[in-house]
Amino acid sequence: MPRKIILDVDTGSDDAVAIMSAILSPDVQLEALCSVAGNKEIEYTTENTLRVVQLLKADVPVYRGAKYPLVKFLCPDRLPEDEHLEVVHDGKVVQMHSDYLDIPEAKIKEQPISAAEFYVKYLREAKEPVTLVAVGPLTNLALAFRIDPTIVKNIEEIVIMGGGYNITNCTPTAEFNIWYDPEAAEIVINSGAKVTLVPLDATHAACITLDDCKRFRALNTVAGKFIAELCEQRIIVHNATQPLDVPDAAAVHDALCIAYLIDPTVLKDVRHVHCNVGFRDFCEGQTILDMRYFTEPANCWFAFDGDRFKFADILCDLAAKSEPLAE
Amino acid sequence: MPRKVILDVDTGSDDAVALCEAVLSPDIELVAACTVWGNQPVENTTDNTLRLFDALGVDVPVYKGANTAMTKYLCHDYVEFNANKIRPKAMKDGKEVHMHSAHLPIAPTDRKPEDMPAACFYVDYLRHATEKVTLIPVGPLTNLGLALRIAPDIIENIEEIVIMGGGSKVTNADPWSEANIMHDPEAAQIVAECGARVVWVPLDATHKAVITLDDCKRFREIGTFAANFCAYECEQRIFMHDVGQPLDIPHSAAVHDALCVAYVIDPTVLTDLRHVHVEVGLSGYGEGQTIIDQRAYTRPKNGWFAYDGDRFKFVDILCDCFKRDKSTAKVIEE
Repeated sequence: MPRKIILDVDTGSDDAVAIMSAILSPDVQLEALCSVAGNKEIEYTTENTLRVVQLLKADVPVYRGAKYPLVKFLCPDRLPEDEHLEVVHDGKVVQMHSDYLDIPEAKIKEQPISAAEFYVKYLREAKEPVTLVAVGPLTNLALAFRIDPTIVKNIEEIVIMGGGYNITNCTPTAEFNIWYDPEAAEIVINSGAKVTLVPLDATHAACITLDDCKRFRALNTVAGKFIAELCEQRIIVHNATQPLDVPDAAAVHDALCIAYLIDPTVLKDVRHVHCNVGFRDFCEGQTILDMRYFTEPANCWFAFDGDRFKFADILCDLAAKSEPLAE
Repeated sequence: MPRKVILDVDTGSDDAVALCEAVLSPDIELVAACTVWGNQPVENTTDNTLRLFDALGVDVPVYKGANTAMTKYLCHDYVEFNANKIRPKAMKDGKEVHMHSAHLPIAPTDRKPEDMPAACFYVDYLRHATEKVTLIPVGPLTNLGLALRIAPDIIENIEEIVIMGGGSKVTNADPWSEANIMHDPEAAQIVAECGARVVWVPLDATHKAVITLDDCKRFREIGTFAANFCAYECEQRIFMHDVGQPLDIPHSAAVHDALCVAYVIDPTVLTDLRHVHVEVGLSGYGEGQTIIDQRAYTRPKNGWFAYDGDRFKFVDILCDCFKRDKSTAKVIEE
């Protein structure tokens, strides 16, 4: 029986790979997609999500989510600064996430209700537990939990792409998804559901290389080609701004969460720990793990490592299921 | 034409007076009541609201709302900070009296709230509204804060938001804050800056437009259920005020929430209403403070803040409403 999931995305290049993986996997039944502001503004992440669904001709409803984080931007001192390094490749500026994905504009439409409303309604009425995979800021889910905390009873597991213990990216202490809405992350981690964090420690270990991209491309399928393009774009930016241990490689964070649902052993060294999120000053958005001997009660599973070979094989398998490229 | 209104309440003694007023006023069409935690847990505020509607014999839908602040209590320091507050104890006939009883002194009800949670109701109702509606939140602003985060565009169908909360020169929960805003400062800041017309009915106004023991006598002379019930609630509040926060006028109480409804019935009940920039303090000393920009070159004005209120007009409005009550319910005094 495929596992029912709802995927929450800020599409986004690696989000696109995650969406395609979820659509193509026979082990996963994608019930809905929710968009959220994060990598890009909500208008872009919603449109991009619709584009990916349309590209694979999938029949999955898309719910537009939150435009702003819960409370972070209320304080002038917590507004984000735009300090991205500009990466130029072959005379063109390359971003980790383009505004719009380079695939046809969406003709399909989003649903008439918002993501948080959808979560509350769906989870209240669910006949069987569902797994939530949140790979952007956690705003939608936090709103839903604040509206009705009892929805947790119908959640099998929440798999979060976010955080980092030995590795961070957007500040010296924080990973972007958690940093963008720290209060929402704290609410979700402490919601009482089984929470699995897929942090940078795991996603940087389970990276995708240029050689892997060749494999995807050689499949000659719609998804294979697009995944290769997205990963190559990410490798260019990684090489310039955050080179990994493996040369010419990129983290494809969000897709690793879907791979974990297909084969949990793609995450390694998964430890049951207590995690809090820093809200302010230098530790804003930090996933703080209690490493003391007498720790506070464990509230999540935190992946410290990942298997890059297994991950690439899973992606390859999935991309092979996509329809062949037109001549 | 009566004005369409949604009340957001943490019923609550003064909330109960506000609800009676809104139900009975011919100038108001009460579309729904949303409940929220605050004076009491949300289970109690919801049950109290349902009881009161039952007693008044009206079928207004009740939507149950949030049971905690959007984000405030996530931090240990907020929780401990609040646990250390000193509150005066008021004893009457050997029993402790509270500003808000857990249960209103009226018959229990079997009525249940609607299925949809309050924040979802706001989004759903306002997105589909064919005419504008006035919102009167008189508890913590959590429900509206959540709704505005889900769908900021809902302000298009909001006529006006009349908030009971805040204080410029008068405070109650902390040296710098009023209770409703203190309970969920982030939600208050979201509402303050949402772009709708916002009218603040702060302690500066509610401590002026007070209800006295003499006014309570007037209510009792009217003799309807609403009049007797509100007299009972106001007398309890006067007792509490005399012990914990005596006002300028002896033996009187602020009945904050009801003043917001009175303003919708007759705006001149608020006097000295100033167009100002309001923002809410979010942490430390200043958490929950309604900060008014008093500078000559002020930040953009985003709300109307009432510095004074007319207590005689307020009482007249209440009496007018109470006279219209035709219910047969009874106050059940302990």
